[in-house]
Amino acid sequence: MKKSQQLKEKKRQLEEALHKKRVGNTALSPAFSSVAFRASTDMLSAIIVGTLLGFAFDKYLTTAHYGLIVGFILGAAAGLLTVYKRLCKLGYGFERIDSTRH
Amino acid sequence: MDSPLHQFQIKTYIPLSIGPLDVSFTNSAFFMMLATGLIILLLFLGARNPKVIPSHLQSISEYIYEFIATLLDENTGGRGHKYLPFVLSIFLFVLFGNLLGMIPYGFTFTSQLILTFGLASIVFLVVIGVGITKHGIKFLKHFMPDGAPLVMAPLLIPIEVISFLSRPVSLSVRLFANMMAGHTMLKVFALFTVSLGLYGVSTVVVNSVLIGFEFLVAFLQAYVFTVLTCLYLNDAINMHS
Repeated sequence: MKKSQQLKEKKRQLEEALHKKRVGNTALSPAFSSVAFRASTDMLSAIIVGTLLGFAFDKYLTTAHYGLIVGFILGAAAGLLTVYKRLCKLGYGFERIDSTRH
Repeated sequence: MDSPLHQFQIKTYIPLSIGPLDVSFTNSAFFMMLATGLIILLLFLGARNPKVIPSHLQSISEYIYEFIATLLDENTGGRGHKYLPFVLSIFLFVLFGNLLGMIPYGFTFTSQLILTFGLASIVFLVVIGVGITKHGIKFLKHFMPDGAPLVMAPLLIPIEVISFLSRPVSLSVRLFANMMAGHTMLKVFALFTVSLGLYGVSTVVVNSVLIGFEFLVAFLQAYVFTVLTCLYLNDAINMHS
């Protein structure tokens, strides 16, 4: 029991060290600002694509403006998903938040 | 004085048209051809007479080749090595496009949204082609996250499809916005230098720093475009792994 706890602690420390190596010590480092810029373009482009698809849907099925609204919401959701996936790859996902809570 | 956006204007050198289609030879086309010519020249001269102790040009071309080969292998787990010519061409074209814009009186063709969107669309179509060739109809599993309940499919599939379709848009907007913003900023500070007279020395200092920063951005954006191309290829080659 004690040994498994020690192992868990070691694993947490290792993950923490790997995370620091990957993204740097501070969230406001230049590397992070580049990540933030990438995330903003990902978010924006997903909203644009979603809204345009909704607009096209409205135009051909004459459902104005339900398609536009639904497209915008789905685009925003897709943007959030893309940003979340990208941040997970950099070690900013929920797993990291959980590991620092212990 | 010219507007800071004047530098992005397309100028027609030789007017040409095929029916209703305007295929004029423009400054953008000229710099694209120049970039392609310089890339071919660099690689040709670098590989023409290979030696154990390499010349400068051989070193540069070998370094670029190995850099992109390592990047592609790291991101695709070695299974995407056969796409190296495609990825290397994309990297060199974007890099030379960015760097040619840094020469005075040069034209940055990567600051044209239609061009970056064209490049991103080629990457997008290649990724779809690779995915369908490798996995067939199973490529569509890409749009349903692993382990998600089937009840969620009507909501998750449209979100994943939009997320997938937004890839070429984000890829192109990122390169275009970076190049356009950087060059506009340089011109704005240059105009300050002219209008401030003697006090313009301070903006010359700022501009010198910005030019250095722009060179960094030129390399960084070519690198980012290539990394994302590798990541998208990896998604198509090694699905969900």
